[in-house]
Amino acid sequence: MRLENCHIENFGKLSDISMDFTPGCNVINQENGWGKSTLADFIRVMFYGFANERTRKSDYENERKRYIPWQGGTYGGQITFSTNGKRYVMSRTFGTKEKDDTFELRSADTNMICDDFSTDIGRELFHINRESFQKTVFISHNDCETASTDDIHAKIGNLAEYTDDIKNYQQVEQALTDMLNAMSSRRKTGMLYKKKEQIQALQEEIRQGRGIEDSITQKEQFCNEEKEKMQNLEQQMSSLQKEQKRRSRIKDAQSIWQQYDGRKEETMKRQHQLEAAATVFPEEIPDRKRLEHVMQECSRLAQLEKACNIYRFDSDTEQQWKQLSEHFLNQQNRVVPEEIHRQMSVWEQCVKEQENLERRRIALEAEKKAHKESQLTVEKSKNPILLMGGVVLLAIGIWLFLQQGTIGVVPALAGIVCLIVGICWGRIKGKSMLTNQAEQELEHKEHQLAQEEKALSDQMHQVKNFCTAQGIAFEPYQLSARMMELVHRYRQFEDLKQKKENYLDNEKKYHGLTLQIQDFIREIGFEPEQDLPGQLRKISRLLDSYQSADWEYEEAQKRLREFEENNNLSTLPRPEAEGMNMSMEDISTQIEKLSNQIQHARENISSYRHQIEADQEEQENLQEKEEELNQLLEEFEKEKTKLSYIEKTKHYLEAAKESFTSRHMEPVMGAFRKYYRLLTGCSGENFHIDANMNITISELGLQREMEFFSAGYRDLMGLCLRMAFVQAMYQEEKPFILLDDPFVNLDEKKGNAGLNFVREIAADYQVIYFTCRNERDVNFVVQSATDCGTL
Amino acid sequence: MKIIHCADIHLDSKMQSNLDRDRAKERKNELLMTFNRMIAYGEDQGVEAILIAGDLFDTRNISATARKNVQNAILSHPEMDFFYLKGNHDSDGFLENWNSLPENLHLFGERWKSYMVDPAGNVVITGIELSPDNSGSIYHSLVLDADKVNLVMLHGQETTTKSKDRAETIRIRDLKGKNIDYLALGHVHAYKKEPLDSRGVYCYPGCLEGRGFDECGSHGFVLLDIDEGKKLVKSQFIPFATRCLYTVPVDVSGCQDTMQILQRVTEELNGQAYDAKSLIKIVLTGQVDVECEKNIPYLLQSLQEDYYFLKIYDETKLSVDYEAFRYDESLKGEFVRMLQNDASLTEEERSTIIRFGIQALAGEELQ
Repeated sequence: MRLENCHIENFGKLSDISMDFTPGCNVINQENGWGKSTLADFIRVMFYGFANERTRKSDYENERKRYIPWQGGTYGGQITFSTNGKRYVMSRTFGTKEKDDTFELRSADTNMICDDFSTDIGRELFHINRESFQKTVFISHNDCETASTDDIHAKIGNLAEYTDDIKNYQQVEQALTDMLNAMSSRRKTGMLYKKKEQIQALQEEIRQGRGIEDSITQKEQFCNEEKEKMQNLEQQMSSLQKEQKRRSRIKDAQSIWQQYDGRKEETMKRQHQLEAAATVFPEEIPDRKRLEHVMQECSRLAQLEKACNIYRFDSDTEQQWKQLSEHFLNQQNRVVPEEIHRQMSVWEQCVKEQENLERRRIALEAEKKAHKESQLTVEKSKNPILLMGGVVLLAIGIWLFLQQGTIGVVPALAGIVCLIVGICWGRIKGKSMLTNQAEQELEHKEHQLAQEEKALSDQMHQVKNFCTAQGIAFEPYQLSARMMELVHRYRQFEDLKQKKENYLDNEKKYHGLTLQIQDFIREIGFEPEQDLPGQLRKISRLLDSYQSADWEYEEAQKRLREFEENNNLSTLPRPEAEGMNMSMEDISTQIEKLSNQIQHARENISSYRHQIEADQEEQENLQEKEEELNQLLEEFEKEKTKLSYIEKTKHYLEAAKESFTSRHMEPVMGAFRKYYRLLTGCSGENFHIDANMNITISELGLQREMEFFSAGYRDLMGLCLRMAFVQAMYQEEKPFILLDDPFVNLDEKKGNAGLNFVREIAADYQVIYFTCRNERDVNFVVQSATDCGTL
Repeated sequence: MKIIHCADIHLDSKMQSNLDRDRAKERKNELLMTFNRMIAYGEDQGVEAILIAGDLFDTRNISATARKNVQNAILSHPEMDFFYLKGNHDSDGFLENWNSLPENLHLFGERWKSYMVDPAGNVVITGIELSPDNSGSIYHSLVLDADKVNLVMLHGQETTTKSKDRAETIRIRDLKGKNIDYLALGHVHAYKKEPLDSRGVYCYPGCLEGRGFDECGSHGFVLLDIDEGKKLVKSQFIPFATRCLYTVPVDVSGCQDTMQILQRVTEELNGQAYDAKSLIKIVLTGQVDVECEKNIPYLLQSLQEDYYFLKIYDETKLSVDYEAFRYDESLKGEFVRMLQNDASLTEEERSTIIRFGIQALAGEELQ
C-alpha cells in the first residue's frame, strides 16, 4: 500500500496544504510548530477517524476538538493511495459530531465513487484497529514504545478472519476476569462471597435456632404441669360444684315437698268442702241431667197452665157449649157439615129439577093440549073441568105439602089424577080413535115426567125429613139459609169441642207433670213445695255448689297426682335425710376462688401454648432456613464448581494463547534483532520475547523488562519491535510507515543509526518521516540515499 | 360398604420448592380443594368412612383456613365417619381447637384402638399412632377377630431400618398372620399395594397431590369396596390430583443447536401428551457437541407457557470432536488441543472447560 498524495483543506493549524508522496522515504523536515504531528495525525485520522471523541477531559484529548481548523473553513481533506493495484481518492470532511462527517471514496483512475472500503477504511486496509495502528505503523516521537495487541497477534498469525478468536482474547480475558471477580469467593462484591456470607448467617441462625427445641420441650413441660394443676383444680371445683348441686337439689326437694304438702292440704280442704256440699241432699245426689230434665219439664207446667187458662170456657161459652153439644151430640143429629152441604146441594138440585119438571110439564101439557086440540077437532070432546080441578088440586096438594107435609100429597095426587083424567079425557074418549104413535109418545113422556116428578118429590121429602131431623123449619125458600145457619152452628160446636178437648188435655198433662215433678222432688229427699220451679231452681243451685266443690276437689287431686308424677317423689329424698356440712356461701366462695385459680392456670397454659406455637413457627422457619441453606449450599457448590471451571478455562485460554503466540515469536524476534542491529550494530542476542510479545533483556543473569531501561533505549527497542511487528504482520502488501521524529530521545550516535534505520526500512516500505532537525534528516546524513527526498 | 383410604395430604404445605410465591399459594389452596373434592366424591359414591392414615397437615401450625375447612368437612358430613390417625407431621393443634369432638370423628392413640364401622360389627377398624415408646410392642399387642373384616391403620415407613425423620418404622413381616384384611398405611408418598399374607394386603395410597418432582406421576386415594357378608375387601386406586408432576428425560444427543433441542423436547412432550395443568421437569440427557449452541433460557421461554410450570435441567454430557481441532490454526484450536493433551483432567472437566472456553471466545454466556 502506498500514499500518493494528500491535500489538507483545513485541519488544526494546517490549511490548504498539498503533498505528494513517493515510494520509499519521504522526509518532511520542518521547524517546530509547522504542524508535522498534525499532518501525521491528519493521515491517521483520515484512515481511522478521531480518537477519544467521547472524552470530556479536555479539548486537547478530544482530537475532533483539537484539530478544529484554526482559521475555519472545511474541516478535512483528501488522500490518494494505492493498494492491491488499485488507486483511490479518499475525501473526508468533519463536522462537530461524527454524524456530521462525510466520507467519499473514488477510484483515482475513473474518478467513480466506489465502495471497496467503508468509513472503517483503516481497519479494512491494515487489518488492525487504531490502537494497533498506533503501536505499529504510526510511530510518534513521544510514543516509540509498543506492546502487542490482539489485533497485532491476529495479524501476526494472519488470523484476521477469526474475529472471535485471538483478536478478542483480551476482551475474553477481561470478561473471564470480570466473571471471576463477580463470582469470587474472596472479593466482597463476589457472588460466592455473598453466598458464603448468607450461608454463614443462615448457619448461625440455624445453630442459634437449635435451642428452640429445648425451649419447646421445656415450655411443653411447664404447660403440662399447668394442665395437671388445672386438672386438680377442676376436680376440686367439680366436687364443690357437685356439693353445690346437691345443696341445690336439697333446696329444690324442700321446695317440692313444700309444694306437695300444700297441694295435698288443698285437696283435703276441697274434699271437706265437697262433703259439706253433699250433706244438703237428704237422699242421693241428684243427677244433673235428670234435674235439668225435670226443670225443663217444670218449665212446661207454666205453659200447660197457660194453655188451660186459654182453653177454659167462661159461663156463656159453657152455656153455648151445652146447647150445641146437646144438639150435636144427640145421636140423631149427629151430622157433619159435609152432609148439610150435601143436603143443601140436593135441595138446590131439587129446586132446579122442580123448575125443570114444571117447564117440561107445561111443555107436555102444551103438547098434549095441542094434541088434544087436534084430537078435539076429531073428538071435540074436552074436559076442562078435570084439568082445572087437577090443577087446583095439585096446587093445593103442593101447598099443603109445603105447609103440612105429607098431608098435601093427597090433594096433590088428586090434582094430578084430575089433571091426568082431564088431560086424558080426550085421549080416553078418543082413545079408541087415537092409535097413532104421537099419542104413545105423549103417554111415554107423561109417564117419564111423572116418574121424575115422583123421584123429585122423594128427594124433596128426604130433604124435608133431614130438615125436620135437624130441627130446621122446612121452608123451601129459606131452606139454604137455614142450612147455612146449621153449618155455622156446627162449626161453633166443633170449635168449642176442640177447645174443650184441649183444655181437658192440658189440664190432664198439667196434673200428670206436677205429679212427676213432685215424685222427683220426693225421690231426692225433699218435700214438694207449692212453687215447684222455685224449689227446683233452689235444688239446682245446691247441686251447682256440690258439683263445683266436686270439680275443685278433682282438680286438686289431679294437680296432686301430676305433681307426684312430675317430681318422682318416691326417689326424692326428704330434706331431713341429707346432711349439710358446709354453707352455700362457703361453697360459692371456694368455687369462685378455684375458678380464679383455674382461669389463671388456663391463661398460663394459653400463654405457654402461644409461646410454643411461636417457637414451633420459628422451628418451622428454621426448617425452611435449613432448606434454604441446603439450597444455598447446593448453589454455592455449583457456582464454586463453575468458578473453578472458569478459572481453569481462563488458565487454559492463557496457556493456549501463549502457546499460540509463541509460534510467531521467532519471526518477530528475528525481525527485532535485525532492526536492532540496524539501529545499534549489536546482534541483540540477549533480547528475548515472550508469548505476549514483551521484550526482555538478559542482564546479569536475569531477564529484565523494558521499563528498567532509559527512555532512549526504550524508544529504540520500541521502534525495533514496532518494525518487527510490521514485518511479521504484513508478509505480502506492506503498509506505509509514519515516523514522527522518533529519534528525538536518541543521542547523536544512536540518532544517526536511526537515520540508517529509516533508510533501511525505506527499501521495503514507503516511509513518511517527519523531523525538525537537519541532522536528523536522512538526506543530510546519508549522501547516498538517492531515493530519499526532503519535502 | 365403601371406604376411602387416604394419607399424607399435607394440608398447609408451603409448596414453594419450585413455584413462586403466588403459585405456591395457589397450589396450597388447590391441595385444600382436592381434599374437599375427595370428600364430595365419597359423598357421591356413598362412602361410609374415610381413613386418614396420618400427615393430614404438613406443619404443627395449622392455618385457620385449613383448620376450618377440615372441621367443616367433618361436621357437614355426619353420614361419614372420619378415622384420623396422626402422622409424624401432625400435632394436637388441630384437635385442641375443637370444643367437643364431633361424633363422626374417631381418633387413635398410642394403644391399639378399634372401631366397628357397620351396625352388625362385621367391619372393624383398628389403629395405633406409633411412637418411640410403642413402636416395638405393637406387633404382640395386636389381636384381631378372624371372623371380622379387619382394617388396620398405621403411619410409618415399611422398612426394617429406622428412618431419619421422626416417623417410625413398620415391620411388615411382623404383621403377617394377624387376620388383617387391609393394612391402611401412610407416610410413603407414592401409591403402593403389596400382598401382606395369604389373607390381606398392605397399601400406601400416596399423597393426594404431588408437591415436588420427587412426587411425580398420578396421585390420589384408595377406594375400598367391602362385602361384609363374604368378608371381601376390594381396593382400587383413584387418581385424583388436580395437577400432576412429571420428570421428562429428553435425550438430545447429536443436537447441534437450541432449535434442534427444542424440536427434540417438543416431540417428547407431544408424544406423552401431558395435560397443560401439569408441572414438568425436563432433563436434557445424552451427549452434545462441545460447540453445540444450547440456550436453556430460550428453551424455557419457548416451552413454559404450555404448562402450569416447567423447568429444565441440563444433564447433557459434552462430547468433543478433537479431530476437528487438530489442524485448527486458531486460539480455539490451540486451546482445545492443549486440553486434549492434559491428562490430569477428567473428560467431564475437559469438555466443560472446552465448552466454557469456546463460549468465552465467542462472547457467549458461560453455561
